[in-house]
Amino acid sequence: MPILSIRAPACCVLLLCCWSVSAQQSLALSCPVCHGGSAASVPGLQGYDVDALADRLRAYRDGEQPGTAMPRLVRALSDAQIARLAAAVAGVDSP
Amino acid sequence: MNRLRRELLTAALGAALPWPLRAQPVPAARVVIIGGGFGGASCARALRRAAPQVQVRLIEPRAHFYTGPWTNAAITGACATGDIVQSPAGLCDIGVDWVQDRVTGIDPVARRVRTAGGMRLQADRLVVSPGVEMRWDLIEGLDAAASATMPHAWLGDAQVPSLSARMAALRDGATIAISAPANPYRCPPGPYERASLMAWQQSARGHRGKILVFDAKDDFTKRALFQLGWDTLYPGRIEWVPRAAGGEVVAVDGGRGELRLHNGERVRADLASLIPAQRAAAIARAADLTDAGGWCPVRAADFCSLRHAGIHVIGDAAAAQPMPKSAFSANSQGKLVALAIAAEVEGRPPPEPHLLNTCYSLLAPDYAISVGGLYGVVADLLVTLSDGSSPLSATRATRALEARYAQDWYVQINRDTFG
Ligand SMILES: Cc1cc2nc3c(=O)[nH]c(=O)nc-3n(C[C@H](O)[C@H](O)[C@H](O)COP(=O)(O)OP(=O)(O)OC[C@H]3O[C@@H](n4cnc5c(N)ncnc54)[C@H](O)[C@@H]3O)c2cc1C
Repeated sequence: MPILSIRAPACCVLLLCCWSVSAQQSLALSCPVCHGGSAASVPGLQGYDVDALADRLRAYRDGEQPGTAMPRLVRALSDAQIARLAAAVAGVDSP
Repeated sequence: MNRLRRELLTAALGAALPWPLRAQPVPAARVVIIGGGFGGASCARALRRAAPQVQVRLIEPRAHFYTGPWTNAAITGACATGDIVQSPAGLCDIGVDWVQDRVTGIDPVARRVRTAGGMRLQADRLVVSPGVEMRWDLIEGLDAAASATMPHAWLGDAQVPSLSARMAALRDGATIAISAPANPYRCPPGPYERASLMAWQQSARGHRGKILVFDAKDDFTKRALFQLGWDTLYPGRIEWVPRAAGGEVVAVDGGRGELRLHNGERVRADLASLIPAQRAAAIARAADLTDAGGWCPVRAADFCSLRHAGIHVIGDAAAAQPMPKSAFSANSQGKLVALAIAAEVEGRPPPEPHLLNTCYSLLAPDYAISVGGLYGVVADLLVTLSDGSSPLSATRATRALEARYAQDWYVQINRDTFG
């Protein structure tokens, strides 16, 4: 009767994280546990630019963007921490 | 110069003398990881990417195992047991040296490891992620043989298909007893997710029935959300008996399939799933990494053992409260430790210690709730920086959305950890 399908889609986009930039950012490495790009319902992170990502994270933090798991994970982050996180996730060095 | 750099330089100088004769370059450091589950595998993978010059050896005896996550779906037929099988073998593709063997001894001072197959390995850094073992000493009559008659299916072993088969064979009107342990233990919401999906399977088959949850504690994670879900989805089917009501199981009779509760009551169900109390796996204790409570105390910033230098303990075996013992936590800790080791080898400052967790629980295949948090280090302590769970007032559409997220999370964490 199996009614849940938990096989990964045959083709998936791999998250290419820039490890040299994220080397100080253990937090950034946890994002692909959900946002790795292989899922149907959870967006991957590739293709985001730093500013769009930081805006989105701030909106979750400030309650302007509704969500399920995200708001509780970013509520305690400062603007500077969000900027560093976004930079690490997007694979670009923070200013 | 930090200690690991100094040790490595000394070793490299010694090793450099017969250089023209050497076929292999000297690795920057030798890291031996014990246990290839969620913690060990994610640490191995992250270390290969963060510090390719480091030699990564992963020792794990099991070529295949059932994952903890989705075990409850597999035993209740919501997915097949074959869908939740994982292996450390994929790590070899990225240059991890997987040794299929069991560690039988660790010299925590010399950082030397001995295996059942007779290998002797010297490490510059050890990462220990062996998971949990069951405690037989807290319930009278409980041992491995009695446990097999009341499968916990908590260790990804043969008890998973065994409990699945026992579930499939239940008749209409069956009573199931679940015994939940005291804190801390692997996967805090697990026993209650199990009760939910067992109720789902009974109802999906058109069976009447009853599920009794006997608890060694008086509260559990996401309790209001679980009980609201039970009332909505399975009214009257699941009964939770807390410790204060005498619900703690104090003795078992494996032969008769009987549980004795703290309140003196004897219960004989059609099927019992007794989840024993737990502690860090045996090898952690043998290596003198555990404290009196049976778990491994660690420094929050890099999960270094507080008992022996140069050894990191991650995953369920670590005393990492307030993080729950989950696959997500183990994965996150594995990555932090990989970055810490890479930083040390390369002489960079240590990583900023931030850790994440999110745990989904399925109450039905289209109904899930979640809890999650961000963790950091304040005054040398691991603390919760923010956390939360699904709102009690969420709509059915949101519960269904979270069930889809749960499914996608499962696919993704396996890919992220095992490849
Ligand atoms: C029913 C259930 C549901 C769960 N659901 C979820 C969930 O939805 N989300 C979630 O995040 N987590 C969930 N978990 C929890 C998750 O399974 C664990 O937290 C996770 O596996 C911990 O990782 P670990 O590396 O500490 O241990 P494991 O993944 O158990 O890995 C330990 C490995 O070490 C090996 N080992 C032990 N001793 C030795 C030795 N001497 N030598 C070599 N190797 C050794 C073992 O063979 C094992 O493979 C669930 C667990 C259960 C039981």
